[in-house]
Amino acid sequence: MTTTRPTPPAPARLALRRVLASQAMLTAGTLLVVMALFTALFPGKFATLYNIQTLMVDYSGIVLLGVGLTFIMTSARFDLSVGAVLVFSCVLGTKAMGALGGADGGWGAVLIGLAVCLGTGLLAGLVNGFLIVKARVPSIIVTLGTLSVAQGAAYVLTGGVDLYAVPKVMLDHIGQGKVLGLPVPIVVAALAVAIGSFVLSQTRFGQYTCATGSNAEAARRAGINIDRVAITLYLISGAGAGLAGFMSLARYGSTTLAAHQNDNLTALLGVVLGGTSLFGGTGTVVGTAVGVFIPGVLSNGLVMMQVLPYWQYIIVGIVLIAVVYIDLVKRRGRTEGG
Amino acid sequence: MSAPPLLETRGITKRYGHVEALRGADFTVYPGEVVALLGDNGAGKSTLVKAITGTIQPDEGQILFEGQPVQMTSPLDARTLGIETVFQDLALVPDMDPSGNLFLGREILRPGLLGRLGMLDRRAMHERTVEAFTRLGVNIQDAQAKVIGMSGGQRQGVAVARAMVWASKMVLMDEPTAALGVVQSRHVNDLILRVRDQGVAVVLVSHNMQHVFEVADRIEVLRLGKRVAARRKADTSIEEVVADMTGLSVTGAA
Repeated sequence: MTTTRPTPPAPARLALRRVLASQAMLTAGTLLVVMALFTALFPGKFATLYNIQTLMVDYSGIVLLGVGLTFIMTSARFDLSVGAVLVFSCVLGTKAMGALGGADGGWGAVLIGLAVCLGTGLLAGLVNGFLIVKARVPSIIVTLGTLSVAQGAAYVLTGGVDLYAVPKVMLDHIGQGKVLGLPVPIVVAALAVAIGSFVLSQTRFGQYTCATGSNAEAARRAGINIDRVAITLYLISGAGAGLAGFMSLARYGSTTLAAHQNDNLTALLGVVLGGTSLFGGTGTVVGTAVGVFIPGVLSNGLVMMQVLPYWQYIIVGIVLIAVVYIDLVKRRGRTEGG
Repeated sequence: MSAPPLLETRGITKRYGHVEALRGADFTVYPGEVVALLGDNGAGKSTLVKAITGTIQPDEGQILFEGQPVQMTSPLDARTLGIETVFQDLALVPDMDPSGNLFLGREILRPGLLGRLGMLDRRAMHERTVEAFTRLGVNIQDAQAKVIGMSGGQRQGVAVARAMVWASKMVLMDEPTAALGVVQSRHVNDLILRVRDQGVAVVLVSHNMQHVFEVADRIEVLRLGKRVAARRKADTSIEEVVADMTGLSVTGAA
């Protein structure tokens, strides 16, 4: 970035120190250490372009959920519904594309499918946001409810049997496609991270997101329409889930009814590992993108160590509680020291 | 005071169910003065403050600003008139730095396309914050540190500076020294006088008689939802004001 005005040196150095001391850097460091460990343990197996790329593609959907969740959690709320909304949007998207030619459908069908997936996510976000803001039901309960509704609806509409009516062009050019040599799912996730990061850290809306999470009453008195901010946040989170649903269809060619049950939890862990406080007020999207890969790398490495991959769920659960505990202790220290 | 009042409330009444918090309260603020609004607990001070800042709507009565009747339907109306409030809880966002707090809800955006995308001009906000701190003598070493790590006095400084930066006519301070030590309270006094010296009126709501007598030019007293006294500090004493507040004779007030 070039600017004409000179940067005062002291604040710049302080800002740099702050970045280096941040949770996101700690997470990135942890990730590098774990990756170095697996590279040493499995030379020529872990640190291959193919393995890393597959890993990134596998976790690109969770990154999309994580971007939305970062916004929600920065505003001191939860969204437990994104995993179920992802599957529900897969179902509606496949139904729409199935009616437009199924596997033989063209780009028109794909675009409609994308619109239906995004629309489903936005609708779910609107319902979540509206109930949280207007009915004043706590977000954890509202989204637990919509999780159940979306999951139930997905099973009711399919009878519990996966649908496969995904256009071949979508599988070939999006799920398996490449842009500039990079798999499309990675590019989509990277774009989402870039845009999300810009909005949360550089814009007025990002500022309002932090303010509502840190002290909602102060934000309200400052003239911020905190209800509108909250609904917009759930729309963002819902859109992320819808887009993740579309990308999942493109990759697997199936509604994958049973495959995303842990996505929500994994995304949540990524958000928390990435330095977003569970108590709101601070969050970074880039941190989330890094944080999401810690459970990813762990499960990848566990498979190579020929440990049952199910161990990752046990590890994820324990790490989640530990990270939140550390965040809590840090917060307590800061407020009492003031 | 011969100048016409800056703000005047006339016969403000506010009922909460059977309770009459204000029963025809009058209150006057002259331009560029420090006026203390005193009253015992339950006298109606905070209700009157809320009416002036647009947080609540009175059932009866009138608010005149610069001689014109005004409707205060939200805190934004008060702001538009150049009235800022330092709330008792300070209403700061702890996870933001001082400039984020100073400009909360009134952010400066980048010029051009980036600004239209909602991008903040952090440098401009930071520079204006540092400039305001210097002008007001608010001592904060690291203006990019989060408020959460600051002392009570520093937080007070940030909240007062925010009100100062935006208030063109009047600053309302609700119990500004309630949570502060002696040294910090003295510093708030300095701030109040500096604000007044820039021609902005200060309304000081306080219990702290010592504090009021140090900085106020005038004192108005509420009792049971009505104004019972309006005195110039030079012509009164703590005993007399306490008597006004309690309704007891001077000898009975201790």
